[in-house]
Amino acid sequence: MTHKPLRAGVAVLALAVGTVAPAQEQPRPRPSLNLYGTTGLIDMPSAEAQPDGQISISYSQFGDFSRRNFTFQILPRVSGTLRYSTIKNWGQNDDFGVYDPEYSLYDRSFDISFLLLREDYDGWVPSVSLGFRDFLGTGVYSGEYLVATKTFLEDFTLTGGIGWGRFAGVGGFENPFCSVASGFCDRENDFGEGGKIASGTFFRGEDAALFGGVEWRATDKFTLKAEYSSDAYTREQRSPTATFERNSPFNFGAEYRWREGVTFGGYWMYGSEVGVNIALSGNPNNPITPQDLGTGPLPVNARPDDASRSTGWAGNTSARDQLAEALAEILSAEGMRLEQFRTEPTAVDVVITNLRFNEAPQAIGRTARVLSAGMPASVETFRITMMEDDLVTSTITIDRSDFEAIVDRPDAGQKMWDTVTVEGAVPSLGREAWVRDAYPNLDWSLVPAPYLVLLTPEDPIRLGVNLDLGFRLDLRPGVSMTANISQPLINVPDDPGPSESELPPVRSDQARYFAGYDPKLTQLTADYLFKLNRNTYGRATVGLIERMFGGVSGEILWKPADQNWGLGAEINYVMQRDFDDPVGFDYYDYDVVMGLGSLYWETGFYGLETQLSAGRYLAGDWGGTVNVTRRFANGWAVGAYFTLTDVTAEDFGEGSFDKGVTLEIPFRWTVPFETKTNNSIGLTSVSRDGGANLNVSNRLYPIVRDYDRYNLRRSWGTFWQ
Amino acid sequence: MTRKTIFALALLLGGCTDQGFNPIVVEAVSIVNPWDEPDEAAAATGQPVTRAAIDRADIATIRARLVDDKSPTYLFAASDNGGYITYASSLRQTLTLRGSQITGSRGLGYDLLSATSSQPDPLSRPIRPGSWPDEVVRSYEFPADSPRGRVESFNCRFEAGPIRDVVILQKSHRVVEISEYCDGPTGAFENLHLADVSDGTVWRSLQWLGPQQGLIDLEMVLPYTGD
Repeated sequence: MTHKPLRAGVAVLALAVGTVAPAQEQPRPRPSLNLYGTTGLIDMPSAEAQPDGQISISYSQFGDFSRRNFTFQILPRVSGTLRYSTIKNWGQNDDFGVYDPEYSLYDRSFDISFLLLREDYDGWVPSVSLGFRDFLGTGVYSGEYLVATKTFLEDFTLTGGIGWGRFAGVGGFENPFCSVASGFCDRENDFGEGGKIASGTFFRGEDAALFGGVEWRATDKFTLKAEYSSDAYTREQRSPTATFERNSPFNFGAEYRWREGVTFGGYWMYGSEVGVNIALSGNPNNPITPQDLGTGPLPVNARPDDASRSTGWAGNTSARDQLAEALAEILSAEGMRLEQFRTEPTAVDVVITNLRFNEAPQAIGRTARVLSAGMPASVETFRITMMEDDLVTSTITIDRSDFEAIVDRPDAGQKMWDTVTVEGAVPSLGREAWVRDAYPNLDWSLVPAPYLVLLTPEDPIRLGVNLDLGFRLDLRPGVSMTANISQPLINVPDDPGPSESELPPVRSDQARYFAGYDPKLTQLTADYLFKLNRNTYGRATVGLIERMFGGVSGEILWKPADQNWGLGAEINYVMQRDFDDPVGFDYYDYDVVMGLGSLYWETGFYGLETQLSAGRYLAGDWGGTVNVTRRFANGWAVGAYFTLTDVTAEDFGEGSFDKGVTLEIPFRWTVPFETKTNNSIGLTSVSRDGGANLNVSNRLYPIVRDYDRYNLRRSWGTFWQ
Repeated sequence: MTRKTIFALALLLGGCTDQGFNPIVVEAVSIVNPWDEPDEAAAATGQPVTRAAIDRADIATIRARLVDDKSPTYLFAASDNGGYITYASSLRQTLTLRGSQITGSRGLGYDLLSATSSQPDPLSRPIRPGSWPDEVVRSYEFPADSPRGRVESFNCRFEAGPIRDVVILQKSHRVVEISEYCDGPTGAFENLHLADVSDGTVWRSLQWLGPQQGLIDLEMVLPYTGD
C-alpha cells in the first residue's frame, strides 16, 4: 500500500483533522434481495448469502401479485424467509361451491436456503446454494433450486441455477432424478391447509429447468439486473379475469440503495408488467447509532498501600446505614438502584436493580467501580447481586485486589472474567442487611404505544397507536399488583365477529378483543415472585392475566446460574374473559386447567436458545412446543416455534398447526444512549386455537435468563465500558 | 443520527411516568455530543482556560478533539493504575493514556477497550526523535460478544518530517513532525506526532481510535508526572 505523507507545516494538523480518514478496507457490498425477499436477482434466487444475522423486511408488487417478506440470515450459511403473498384473480370456488374468478388468494410460505460453498473472490470457486421455496406452505410457490453465483470485475455477478417445481415451469428438460427413480417424475403441490413440510415433493416433477442472470453494481447506489426466469406463472394466468400475461422469460430492473438498509427497486417483469420492491434491512451486529456515547465509567484508583485496613467500621450499624445511603445516591446517578446492602469486615454485599444499561455486565462493572471508590480499604470482596422484577437472580463475586490490578490495563475484560465467580443469589441477605425503604410504592406510566403488525394478508404493514396507562403497586419485596389499561387511538380494527373454529375460540376470537375504541383492561393482577433457594424461583399470579383470560397461574423454575439449562413448570386455571366487558366471564363460559413443563437450553452455538415444552394448552389440547431463538448479546432475538397437539389439521384450520416467528429489537440498538426498552414483534400469521398458550407478563425464565454464567460471559466485554 | 432525529424519536415515544417524563425523552433531551460543546472548563467558570489557570490547578491536563468536532475538550487526570492514566472530561468521557499513547476511550461514541504496542514505543515512553524505532506493532481491542474484545493488529512505521514550533495553550514547544503509517489485515490508517526535539515527548498527536471512531487530536497541556 502506498502512502501520501501528511502535509507538512503549520497547517498539518488543521488540514489533517479535517480531511484524513482512516483508510479502512471497505467490506464487500451486501448482496441484494429479489422480489421474494431472498438473496437473489429479480424473481430468481442467487447463491450469495447475507451477512450473519441480517434481517430484512421487504414488500414487492407486480401485476396481480404482492409479497411481504421477512428474511433472516439464521446462521452464516443458513437463511430463512417467511412470506405473505396476495394473488389477485387467482380464481377458486367460494364457500358455496361457485367459481369466483376474482378470488384473491392470501398465501403464507416459508423458504430456507443453505450456502454450500462460499465464493473465493480471488479464485474461481463460486458461491453455491441449495434452496427450498415454500417448503412449509400451501405449495403455491413450491420449488427447489441449486444455484451458483460468481463475481467478476468487482462489480458484476453472474448467476446460474437449476430448479424444480416452480423453477421448472418453462424451458425444461427431463428431471435428472427421473432416471434414478420414476417416483421423482411426479409432483403434487396441493397441500390443503398447508403448514406441513413438503418433503414428498422435493426435486420431483417431470422437468427441471435452468435459470440465471447478471447483476451490475454500477455505482455504490445503483444496481442493474437482468435475468432469465424459468417460472411459468401458469396457475396465475388461468382465471378469466387474470390481468397478468407472461409474454417473456426475461426480467430487467434497477435498484437504488437510498442509504444503508433501504433499497428501492423498479422492474420490467415478464414483458408485461412494471414491478416495484422496497426492502428494509438491518443487522443486530451493526447498530444504527454509536453505542458508546455518553458518560463513561467512574475512574478509580487502587487503594494506597498505606491505607488503613481497620475493620472497626463494620460493626457500626449507623455507619453502615450512612454508607448505604451514600452508596444508593451514587449508584442512582450511575443508573442503578441499591436494594439491599450488607457489610462484613472484609466483604460487602449489594443487591442492585439495573435501570439503565442494556447489558448486565456493564451495570455490574459500574457498580464495582463505585464500590472500589467508596468502600473502606478493609473490604476485599464485592458480592454484587442483580435484581430483576423484584427477583434476586445471580451473585457475581469480585476480588477487589484483582479488580485493582486489572482496571485500565489491556485485555481487562478477559482477565476480569477469569477471576469472578457467578452463582445463584441467596433468597435474602438476612435481617442484618440494610434494605431500601420503599414499600408500599406506586409506579405509574402513561405512554403512547405504537405497534406494528407485519405480514398480515389484509395490510402489508399496519401501524397503530394505543395509549397505555399502567400502574404497579409494590407492597413488599416480590409482592405487587399491576393494572394496565390500553386506549386504542389510531388505526383501530372493527369487530370481525365470532370465529368459526371447531375448537373453543381461545385465540381465533382474538381480534374481537382489540376491536373498537373502548378502553381495554389488559391486565389486573396480584403477583408474587420469590426464590426458594439459590437456584429455584417461583411465581404466583391471580387476576385478569391477559386480554383474553383471567384466573390463577403458578410457576416454578430451577435454573442454576452456572448451568446452561433449566427446568420449569407452570399450571394455570383460567377462564375466558368477555371481549366486550372488562370484568365479565359470561360470554364464552369457558374455563380450563392447563400448563406446560419446559426444558430450557442455551446451546452455546451462535446464541441459539431452545425451549421444549409439553403439556396441556388453552383449548384443552395436549401436545408440545419447540422454540428456537437466536439471541444476540445486545438484546436482539429472532425466534421460530411450532406446536403440535392432538388437534387434527382439519380442526386447526389454515396452517395445520401453530407456528410463528418472533422478533425482539432492543431500543438501545436504534439510539445513542442507554435504555433497556425492548420492542417485541410477533409474526405469528394466523391466530388459531390449537396449541395456544396463556400470555403471562412475568414468566420466570425471561427474567433470570440474562444473569446466568453463559449470558453474562457473552456480554462481559461491557464490564469495563 | 442527527439531533433532530433523536428529538423526533423521543417525541414519538414520549409520555410520562411517576418519575417524570419518559426516561427515553429525558435521555434524548440531555444527549449532547460532548466534543461539540465549547470549551467545557471555560463554560464552567465563564472564563477561557488559560495556562496560568492550569498551572495553578496543577492537575495533569490534556486537550482532545475528535476530528469532526469543532473545538477541543479539556480532560483532567483522574486515576493512575500502573502507569495507565485516565483523564476525564466534566461530562466524564474518558481517555486512558500510557505516556502519550491512547490505550482506551470511553463515551466518545465507539469505545476503544484497550491498546498495546511492542516496545520500545516512543508514544508510551519518550525517546529522542533520532532514536525512534523503525517500526512498532500496535494492537487495538474493540467491543465484541465475549470477555475479550475483537483485536486488530497493525505494523506501523515512522517517518520523520520537518522541525517546527507548536503552541499548546500559550506554551511553545520545539517539535519534529513524525508520521506513522500503519497497515494490518483489516485495513490501514495514519497517525501523526509532534515530538519534542530534545527528549521526544509527544506534545500533540493525531491517533487512531478505531475504524468507526477515526482519529482524535490529542494535546498534552500539562503532562502527568506522577507527583
